[in-house]
Amino acid sequence: MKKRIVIIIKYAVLAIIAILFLLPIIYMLANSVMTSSEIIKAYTNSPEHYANFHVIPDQFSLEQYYQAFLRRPQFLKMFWNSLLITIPIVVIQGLVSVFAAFAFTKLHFPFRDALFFIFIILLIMPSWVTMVPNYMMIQRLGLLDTIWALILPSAFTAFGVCLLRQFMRYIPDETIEAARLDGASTLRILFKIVLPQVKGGFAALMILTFIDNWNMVEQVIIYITDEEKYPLSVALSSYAANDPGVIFACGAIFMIPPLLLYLFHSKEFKNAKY
Amino acid sequence: MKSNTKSSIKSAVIKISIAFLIIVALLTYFSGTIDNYLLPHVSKTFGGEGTLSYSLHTTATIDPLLSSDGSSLKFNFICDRAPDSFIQMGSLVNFKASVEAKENQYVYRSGTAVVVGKREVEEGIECTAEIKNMDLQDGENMPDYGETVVIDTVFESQVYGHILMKSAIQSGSKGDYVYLVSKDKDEKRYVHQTPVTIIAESDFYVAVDMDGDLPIVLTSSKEIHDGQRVIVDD
Repeated sequence: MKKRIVIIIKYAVLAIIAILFLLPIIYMLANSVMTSSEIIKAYTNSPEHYANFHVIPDQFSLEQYYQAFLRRPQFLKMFWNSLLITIPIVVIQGLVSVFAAFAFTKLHFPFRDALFFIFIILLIMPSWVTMVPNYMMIQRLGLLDTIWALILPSAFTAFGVCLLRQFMRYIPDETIEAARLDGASTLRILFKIVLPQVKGGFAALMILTFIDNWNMVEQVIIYITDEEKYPLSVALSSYAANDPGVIFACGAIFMIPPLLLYLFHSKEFKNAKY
Repeated sequence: MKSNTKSSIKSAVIKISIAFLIIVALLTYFSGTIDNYLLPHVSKTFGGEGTLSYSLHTTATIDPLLSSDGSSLKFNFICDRAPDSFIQMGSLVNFKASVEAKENQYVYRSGTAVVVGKREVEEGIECTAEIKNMDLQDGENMPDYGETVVIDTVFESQVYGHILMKSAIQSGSKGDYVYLVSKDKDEKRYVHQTPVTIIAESDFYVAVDMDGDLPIVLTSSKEIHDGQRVIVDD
């Protein structure tokens, strides 16, 4: 009986935490099916009148989706801008991280550990520290106001290398040596022996990199001046005050690609070992 | 079994992703066309400098205190709808008078009368206008004093900076406003709410105090809101 009560309490606590995490998403989805007037009313607060937050719409309406999909073409273009920026970053970072992590873990070359130490330093350095040097470099390369100004600095980060290295460390060297003895090349060992064993870590890296860059705002504002090239993440933050209703619908659309990516990798993500 | 479930989830996710991207791609490709089709069409006007006029068709009473030389005529009439600002002492009143005088006799006059008196009465403003130097033609008779005559008068207001048609003025909880039409670098037109203060109005026009000299939305095929893109029918 006592054991059962403990389990119930545990589940209750976990349920509360889960609801707390889900609340912003539920709130966003609920607001996306409210009418504009209801949303404006909910957000209008004054000293005498508190904001009227609620999650059950007084009147169900797809007006916000109609606006987002059919009446505001700029949001759809921004959605593609987001993909155009995020996908190259994920691909480049995935490739760079796999190669670098493999080299730092399984290859032997001079100053390997010293170089990795430098990588670790880069990892702990806040992105704001590298922002100004990056800006100057991008300016001199003539890449300002192009999507490469966003892709290049974000594609080469130490995080992926460190993450995959941790996973690769647990692959026995004997496996690699056995493959080598069987005549496998280094690339073959990497893609046929090592990578399948770190699928979970690689999936985690893909998802985290995607989400991190999908939500990019500050870099865009710094490197890009042409609003036509803005991703949807910037629109969500800058249009929110003027048009909260449409922004909720855009937020729901914006959530779909990371969600699909997570579902695609969910098994690897959950079964990740080490 | 587990592997089958895993691959079925993956294939479902791939199918959903492809469907989602195709829908978004199609909507993006046709978004301009769809948006243009659904955009409200508006007609525009410009707020120009001018005067307001107020037409009145009413009856007037010939003032019994008229001077006896017979060359001028005073008449009193009620301006029931005219704004007070229109009727100023000493201002000129354009009138097209078809004065029905005596039986079977008509005196037609058009010209300018001068407002020589006004007072507020229950029905509106009672105005006294004087036509000076009446030059009667042969066969025309002066109306008798105290007699009721029919008159058509046109009052002209002072000159205002912005005269607009009444249909351009919208009213909301924050007061009166108009929609100004601006265009961006791609020649797309957008409407912006601009508050206005109505100074005077006639039947169809208003004189307003406002900033900006952009075109103003006169009529719209659909309801419009601040910042909305529109198509202007030139």
